[in-house]
Amino acid sequence: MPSDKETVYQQLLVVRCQRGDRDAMDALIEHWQPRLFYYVRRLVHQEADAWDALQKTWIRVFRSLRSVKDPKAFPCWLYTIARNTTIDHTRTRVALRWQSDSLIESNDPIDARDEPAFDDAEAVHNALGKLSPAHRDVLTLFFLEDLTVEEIGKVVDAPEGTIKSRLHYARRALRSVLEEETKR
Amino acid sequence: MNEDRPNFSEQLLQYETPDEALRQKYEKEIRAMFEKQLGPAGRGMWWFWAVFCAMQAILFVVVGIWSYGMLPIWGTIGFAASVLFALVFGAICVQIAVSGRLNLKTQPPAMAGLAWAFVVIMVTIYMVSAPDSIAGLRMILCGLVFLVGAAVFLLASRTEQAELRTKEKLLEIECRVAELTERLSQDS
Repeated sequence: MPSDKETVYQQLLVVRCQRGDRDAMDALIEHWQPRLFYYVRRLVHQEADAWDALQKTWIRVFRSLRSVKDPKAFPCWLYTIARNTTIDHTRTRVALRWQSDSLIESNDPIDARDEPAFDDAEAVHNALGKLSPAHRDVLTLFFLEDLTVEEIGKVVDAPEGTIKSRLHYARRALRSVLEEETKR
Repeated sequence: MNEDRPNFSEQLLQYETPDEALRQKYEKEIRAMFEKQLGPAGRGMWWFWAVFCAMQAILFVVVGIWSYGMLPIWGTIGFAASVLFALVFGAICVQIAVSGRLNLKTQPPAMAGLAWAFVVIMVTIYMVSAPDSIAGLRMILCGLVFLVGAAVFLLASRTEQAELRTKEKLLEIECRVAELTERLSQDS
């Protein structure tokens, strides 16, 4: 999670962008591009699609940035645009929806933060690609640490309880993939 | 949020190794979002507009001098405003043509603002110089339509800018406070 100072600075950049500051736009892109690319790349098969979707995302972002009333809501808004743009771009909406509908989910209050953390970033990075798209979707957002569980729910358009449950099952799936990799 | 794993996201990002050629292509496209590179035809077009503006300025100077004394003072002021507008607009055209780049974030809004200011000035002159008759009243009413629209646009824009400036100042203060808190916690 970014520090308080970093978070406030990012909010400051958003307001400066809204005022038309070109340098602030460059700084905003520089900060968010690796994180957005990481997320978008997890949603598509081809890297070229990820770059295309990312470019379209920035076009949409700068076209409608003035609609962001509270700069604190910017990360959630940004990931939502990135997700929707990627889905529109690759036409994977149906596939993602089918995948999430077929998941075993409940609204039981399972808190993913109470579960043991993953330490090996490289192993997690490799294992993410072996999960179902819907699990990969929420787990990537969770690991990028920019959003709360409630905000992840807003991005993927699902209630908080569903996200907690989905995260729980996604982490379980990730653990089993990691265990299989260790056995090999 | 998952505070128990600081820097995990940063570690994760390090393992993403994008294709260099695709990344460069993307960065080029992102730059193109804000800056339009002009080819010889594009530059030629801006040179044409620059020359056109210069000719307009010369024309208005000549007509202004020639008609001085024959027209009401507002007519001469109108010509002077037109000369100024043509010169500033022409200067922007020259800047674009020489650099071969159109900065989409600054130059088109500057030109739109200039055109807006010019219309407001000319409509005001048109209204002020209206004769004391029914025709003059009609001129004033027509001018008011433009001026009210322009005023609403200006007010909305100024209010939005003021709100954003206040937000910006507050966040700057918040940023400094966070910086100080960070320093204090490091010292203690």
